Amino acid sequence: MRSVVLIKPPGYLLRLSSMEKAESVSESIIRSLSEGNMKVLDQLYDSYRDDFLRWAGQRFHVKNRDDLLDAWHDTMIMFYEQVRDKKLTQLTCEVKTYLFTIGYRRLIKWHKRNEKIDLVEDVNANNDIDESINVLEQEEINEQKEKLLMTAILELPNKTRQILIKRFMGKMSIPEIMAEMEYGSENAVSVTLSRGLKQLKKLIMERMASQKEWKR
Amino acid sequence: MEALDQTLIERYLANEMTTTEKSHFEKRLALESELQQELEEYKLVMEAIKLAERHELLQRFRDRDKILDRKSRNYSIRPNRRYWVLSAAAIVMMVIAWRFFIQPAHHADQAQDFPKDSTIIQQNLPVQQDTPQEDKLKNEKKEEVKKVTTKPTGKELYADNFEPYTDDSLNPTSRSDEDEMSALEKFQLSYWNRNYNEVLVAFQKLSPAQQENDNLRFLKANALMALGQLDEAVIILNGVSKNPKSMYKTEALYYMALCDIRKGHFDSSRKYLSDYLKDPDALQKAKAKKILTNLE
Repeated sequence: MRSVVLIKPPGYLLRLSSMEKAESVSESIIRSLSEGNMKVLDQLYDSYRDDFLRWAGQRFHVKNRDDLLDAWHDTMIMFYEQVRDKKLTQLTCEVKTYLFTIGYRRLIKWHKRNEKIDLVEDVNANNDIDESINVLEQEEINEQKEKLLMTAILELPNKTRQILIKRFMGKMSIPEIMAEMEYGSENAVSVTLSRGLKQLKKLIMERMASQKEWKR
Repeated sequence: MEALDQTLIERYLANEMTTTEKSHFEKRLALESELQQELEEYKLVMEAIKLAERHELLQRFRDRDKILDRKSRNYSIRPNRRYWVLSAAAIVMMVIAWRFFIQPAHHADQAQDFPKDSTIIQQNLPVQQDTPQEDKLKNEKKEEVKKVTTKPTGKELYADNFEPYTDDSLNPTSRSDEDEMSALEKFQLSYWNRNYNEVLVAFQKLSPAQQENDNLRFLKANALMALGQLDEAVIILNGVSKNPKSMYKTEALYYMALCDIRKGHFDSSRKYLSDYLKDPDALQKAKAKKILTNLE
């Protein structure tokens, strides 16, 4: 397996034990990210954003820089979700290559949908990409449903929303949430969580019912 | 639904069940349609939470974009602006080249335009003695020539002395990209680049208040003069010269004098130039004095 130094190791990596230092930087990045260290995500984002915009700009004749930025945003979100869901635990290529390939595929998809861009050269879009990313790409919620779900969850109080995200997306335990969000007891977290879930389910169901009613 | 079932669903969705618990729960799911329905509804809840997280991530990335863009803007000139600066530099170079290489200075004596012979002729030419009558004729001719050379026409005086007003404060090179330019910036840039037709077009796009501004009107008058539209220029200059608040009120006199010279109204131009020379703020006094001498 290749051991590749991808980006300048951040401070937290320099403070790791000798055994951990022996690991490749990419593995450390994935592990830190899966543990919820969002600074790693920020650093990856910052390190490769401009390179990606240049690289993608050379391959796709995209006049609007915002389109390339959108692709980079989606790429980083996909990467994060893969790591968070433990679908991506190690890489057989550099993180940069992995990210650029996701971005490339995102742009290809966008191209097929809009047919606004011309490809300059073809790239192996399946380059060392775990097949689970395809599943993620296929997980397309239709726009209307997405809007309904977003409207519903944005109605919840911010704190409740944060607890739900931490519990079900961040896979944090009740005690961890209690410590991070400075709750007085585990019970308080559990109650807020249960109420939040029920409330959100109710909001979604109400909206779906009224949508069905409206369609009739 | 029982509270216990909701807890089970929560744990199932959070992937916290043991293998035995999970297997038992899935068996129940296969048998109980109500529980199945409940789970489907909670799956929608999970989708909503996932979307909310994506939404937050997107916001996080947009914030980072702002930081990164601000940083890169501090470190480098934007490509468009760089292009703009290079264009300005190219124009300056072209003007310099035009002045010094393509358009050499015109001498009154054409002989000076030709290279001198390298061979020195030492032969003494036969000198013919002039008679007194011939001397007189020659002197008359010389006088005529002198009169012609020392008394240029209004057209020539105008051509020799008119140059649209400019100073460093009018230099727009450090300003924004053309796409982002305001009408005023376009006006100033066109003037600086000596695109006088564009100056007039840009002037029309200025706001009514700006079109009333005598400093801008003065520049418009100069553009009109450069395009040979003297009558309109004189009207504007007259207004500017009478506005004590205008920074160009003095210079307007000089340009009014030039307009009158061009039209052959030498008396009024003399008056304008005299008034101009009396003003301590006059910037082109040497030129004005020279013109006055030529007019006398």
